Amino acid sequence: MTLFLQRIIDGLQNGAIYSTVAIPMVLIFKATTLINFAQGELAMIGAFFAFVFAVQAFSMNVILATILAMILAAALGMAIERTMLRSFDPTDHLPVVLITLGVFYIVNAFAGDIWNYQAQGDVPNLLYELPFIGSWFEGRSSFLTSETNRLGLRIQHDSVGLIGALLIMLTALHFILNRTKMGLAFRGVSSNTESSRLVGIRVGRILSFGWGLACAFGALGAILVAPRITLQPNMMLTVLVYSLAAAAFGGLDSVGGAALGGFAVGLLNSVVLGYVADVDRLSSLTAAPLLMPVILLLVVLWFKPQGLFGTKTVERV
Amino acid sequence: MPYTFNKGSAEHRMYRLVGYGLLIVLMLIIPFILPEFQVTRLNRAMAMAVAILGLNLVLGFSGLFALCQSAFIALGAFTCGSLIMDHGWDYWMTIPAGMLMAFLIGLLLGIPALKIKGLYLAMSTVAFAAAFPSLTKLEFFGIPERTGGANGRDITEKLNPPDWMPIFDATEPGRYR
Repeated sequence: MTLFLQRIIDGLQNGAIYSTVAIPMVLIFKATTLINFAQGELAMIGAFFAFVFAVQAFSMNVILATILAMILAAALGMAIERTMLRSFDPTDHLPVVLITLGVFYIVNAFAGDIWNYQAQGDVPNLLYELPFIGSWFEGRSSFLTSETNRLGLRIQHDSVGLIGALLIMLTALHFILNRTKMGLAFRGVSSNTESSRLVGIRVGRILSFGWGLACAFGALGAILVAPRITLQPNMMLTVLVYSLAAAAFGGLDSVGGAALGGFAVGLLNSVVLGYVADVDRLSSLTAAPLLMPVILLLVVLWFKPQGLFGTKTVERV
Repeated sequence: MPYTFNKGSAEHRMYRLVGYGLLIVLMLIIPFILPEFQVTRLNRAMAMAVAILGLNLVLGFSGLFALCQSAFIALGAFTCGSLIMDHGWDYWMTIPAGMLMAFLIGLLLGIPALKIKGLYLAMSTVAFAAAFPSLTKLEFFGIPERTGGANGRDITEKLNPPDWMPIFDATEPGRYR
């Protein structure tokens, strides 16, 4: 029973990581109906920006560095959207898929060239620097360990912080999308681009806004997960697979669905693999075989391509 | 003043033949004029070109978004490597075996690809390609020992050229390898 609960907790902890990449991916899909395969890498480069600001070059306050990195990542996303993707028809999938894959490799190689492929050492944890609750996080490798807790469960403190941050991110996104004028225009564009152009929405700006928003939140997510999965250019490679599965499972055009999908994929991975495969190998996130999300992705796309919460696209034959 | 000639005419065929002939001549000259390092890189490029031909077949001709070519490249290479190192096969004999292995797995993956379309197929194949390095650690049939995990394994045996080829010396390292 304890093991089962522990697996559920592990699944939720990993699921939060997958959600942080799946949510921006869904945002970009909503805006432009393309899958941004480079989302993981753009998030990774955002984490590296924060690393440069906070450690390597300027030794700034981590919160300030995070905000600056989010702004830079948003600018990068906007620039990519404007210069590489704007001129292509988003309904023609081949060029945009190739471009996002190209961005994936360019960003990965770029980061590898600058910061090399070794895992970076002293990565600051954003959660420790938070004003009021940071001291509570700091100095514990985990709380509710077997010594303090009769059930013997182990919950990692930064996972709790990550899930909390994820909830705050979702709330912020909900507020931005549903309460601001820009969000209203964004929802208009994502529901029908041509009609929203007719009623006077500057569609180009909204696409930039969507990419910027997605990249900023992606960078924030990567900064939060970097202390857990080590900061290195390939850190998002396996996460990308899980996130694709999560985004497809929750529905490609549903932000909440992507968050839930992330947790579902994490749970499925940890519980199913926990009983099928070796328990020890689950502890390391990157070493676990990725067969599970690939199978889930194939099954979901085969039987229910719109996912759990997505809107079904009707095609006229 | 642009000069035009029709596709399929005798002239067009002649130009194409000349082009192919020039390509062959260039390939024959390259090993003698470039340093070995560059020759190795060009070799790798040509090997990749063969693999990309397969991608062209599935993506270009049939319009399927199957972007997991890298996984099949690795699959064939791992099959060859394991057959050489673990079973002592001849190098040349492993090439059809590797092709057959990739063919069978491709057939298996092709079944869902019939149902999934467009962007969704791109998603699942990219996921498969990204997942492949960790699938080499999957513990079935001794896969981790055969593949050496994600770090791969060294193939100590060399691909020896047939004796009748006069151009190069196989004992010289780095060239045509």
